[in-house]
Amino acid sequence: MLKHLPVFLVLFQLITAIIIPLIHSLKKQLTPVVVLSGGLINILLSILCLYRALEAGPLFYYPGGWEAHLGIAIILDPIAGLMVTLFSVIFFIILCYIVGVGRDESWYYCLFFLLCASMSGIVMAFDIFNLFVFMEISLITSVALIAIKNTASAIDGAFKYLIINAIGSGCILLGIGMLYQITGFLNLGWIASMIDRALILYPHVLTGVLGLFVVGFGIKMAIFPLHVWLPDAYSAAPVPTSALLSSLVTKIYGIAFFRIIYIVFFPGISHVVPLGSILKIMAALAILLGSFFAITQVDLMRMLAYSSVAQIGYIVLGFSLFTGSGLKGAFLHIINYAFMKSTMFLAAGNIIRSTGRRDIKNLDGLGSKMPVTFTAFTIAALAMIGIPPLNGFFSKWYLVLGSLEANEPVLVVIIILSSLLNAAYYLPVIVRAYFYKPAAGEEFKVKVVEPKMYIPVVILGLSCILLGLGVNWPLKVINRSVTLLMGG
Amino acid sequence: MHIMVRLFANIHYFVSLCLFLIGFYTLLSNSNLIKKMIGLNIMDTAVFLFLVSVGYIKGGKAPIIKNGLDVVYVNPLPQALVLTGIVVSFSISVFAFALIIKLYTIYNSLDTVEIMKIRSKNDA
Amino acid sequence: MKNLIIKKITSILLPFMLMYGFYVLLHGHTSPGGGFAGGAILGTSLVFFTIVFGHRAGERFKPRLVLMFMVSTGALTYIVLGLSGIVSGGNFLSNDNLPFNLGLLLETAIGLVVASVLFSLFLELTREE
Repeated sequence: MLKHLPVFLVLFQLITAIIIPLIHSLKKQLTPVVVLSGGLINILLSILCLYRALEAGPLFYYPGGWEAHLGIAIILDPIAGLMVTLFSVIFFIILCYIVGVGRDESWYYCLFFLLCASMSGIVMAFDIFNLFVFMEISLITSVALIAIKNTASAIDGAFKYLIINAIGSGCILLGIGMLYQITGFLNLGWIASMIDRALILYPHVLTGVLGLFVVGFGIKMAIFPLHVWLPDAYSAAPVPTSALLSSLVTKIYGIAFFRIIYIVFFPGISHVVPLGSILKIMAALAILLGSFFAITQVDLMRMLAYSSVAQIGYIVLGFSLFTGSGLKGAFLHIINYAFMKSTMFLAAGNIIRSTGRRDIKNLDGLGSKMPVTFTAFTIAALAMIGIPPLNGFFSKWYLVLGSLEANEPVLVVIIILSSLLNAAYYLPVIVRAYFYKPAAGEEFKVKVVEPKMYIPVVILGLSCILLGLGVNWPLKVINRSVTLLMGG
Repeated sequence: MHIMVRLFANIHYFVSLCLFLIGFYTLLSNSNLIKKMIGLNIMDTAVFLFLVSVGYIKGGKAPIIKNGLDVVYVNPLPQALVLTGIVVSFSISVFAFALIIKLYTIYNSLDTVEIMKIRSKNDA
Repeated sequence: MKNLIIKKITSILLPFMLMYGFYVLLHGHTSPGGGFAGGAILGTSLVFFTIVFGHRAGERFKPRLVLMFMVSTGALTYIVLGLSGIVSGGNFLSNDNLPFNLGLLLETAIGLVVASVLFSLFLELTREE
């Protein structure tokens, strides 16, 4: 029965998504119970997936019994297991937060589970078309999760998100079609077996495919010049949505993209296109300019959104170094970043909810009014800057090591510079909150934050410390993933 | 001359590329939201044309095997891809139109430039 | 719509449209067509009916709760049918050792989902009028 695990996971999430509105329409009180137990079972199933992937190596699954070159292929390897576990945990904590806030909308939970199912599908897909379908599901559900707030700015942001990402999807689909045309397969393994011949016969078509993929996935990942949709969408979205989207969804596209690059194109493509350098330049620009944009923001949510633009740069940088340490850094940063960013978004949500203020300069003296929330925010911010015992430090450490291995000292300078920039936009918030007195006539009317709203934030903040102190545990799994990707 | 002959033999790819670019241009250059959606749909259709023509074989029949007759079939896989792609583009356009309706009720305009003006006036 | 001709013609055409939809739906595994195409025809005929005879008629004919129920049932049926492949010893959705024709049932489930989704989308989009 264990061999059906990957499909069980996705199906469980889908079934939960489908039955939540039904249960809600029959008996309203049951909805939170179903949602939370669904989230818990989801964690159990995904840990089982991780365990299976680590114990028995990559598991291929063919729905319908059609073998690789004909049918759909699903893979459960350490990467997929790790990612599935990561986002089921974050997902559950965010679900707790939503239940605590008390959103009485069954559709919101339904969309959350659908998004979770599509993300599981993305990381486990081993053929590009299946990947495309899951990406579209995740696109539509994430736009719906933004638009559900139903304010003018949310609808605006959602529309921008939808249109620009739909262009990306068009590019990816065209690329998939061209790749299918020259290799005759959709399965990643089979494409990889044909790619050497294709590189000799059709180098220009492959260049086109890569260009389309870089643009398409770049839009979806919000890598620097293609990030324009992100700040509007994330700052206008409901808080749990932006926490989930920012911490997980864009990174999942990165994993999908680089899985294609590593399995199919790497290393043969470097003779045709200098792919690594292009991605490195984009990543470096994203890191620097994302931070610069973040410094200039006055709105707390927009600042966090621009900081995600900068952070996706680190992840792309780690992947595009094509060295072991760089990959380790990228994976580690995906994990750490998910915890740091969801802490910050949820904490910011609490702040905005209880004070009604979004501007950074209006948050003076808030540290003593909301001690728990602000402590969590501070921990996550320090982790984001990269203060040693916290988790953000270790991912940057591995990224620096990776850049040195790849013989790119400039990138080391950029990483260190960007840490300074991170400090330049996170520290003012913290300093203002703890050490400034609110201006006269600007006294706060702080609504009391209930424990069920700050406990998820505290758990996430604590896990930032724990992941920093116990960095070896995720590294064990990551090492397996790295050998898998580097080994071909 | 040679290149013209080859271009003519692969006319479907050329047309789909042109359609893709036309759609892309429409999407980017028009400020009207509905026209943007039309451009997006043209783009998607171009991709579908491309995919179908990848799998087409001259004189091929619909790929349903009947009684083991030895007939040439077109490649069924791209057709399945196109069908899925149509579903995806359908749902994206429906969703986008729903959002456009919302935007219209909020701003009373379909023009992105005007919407931007109204937004900046509201912010100020 | 108040036009008498359109109303008359629609009431004549509608049964044929529905019949053709069911034909495409149920014949999908032996001829071009299938769940999506058939479901789309069924859904469009319902949309057509609503446009011509007004929203009142359409809403009376299928309220939103029933539609939601139909979408959920269709999707759940698909999943359960797929799981029957696992129960019979194969992979998910596998058709090898099943006593019944899985393809036909799957197409029916898809058709149900597509038709009801199309119709409910139409109802939602035109609700303001």
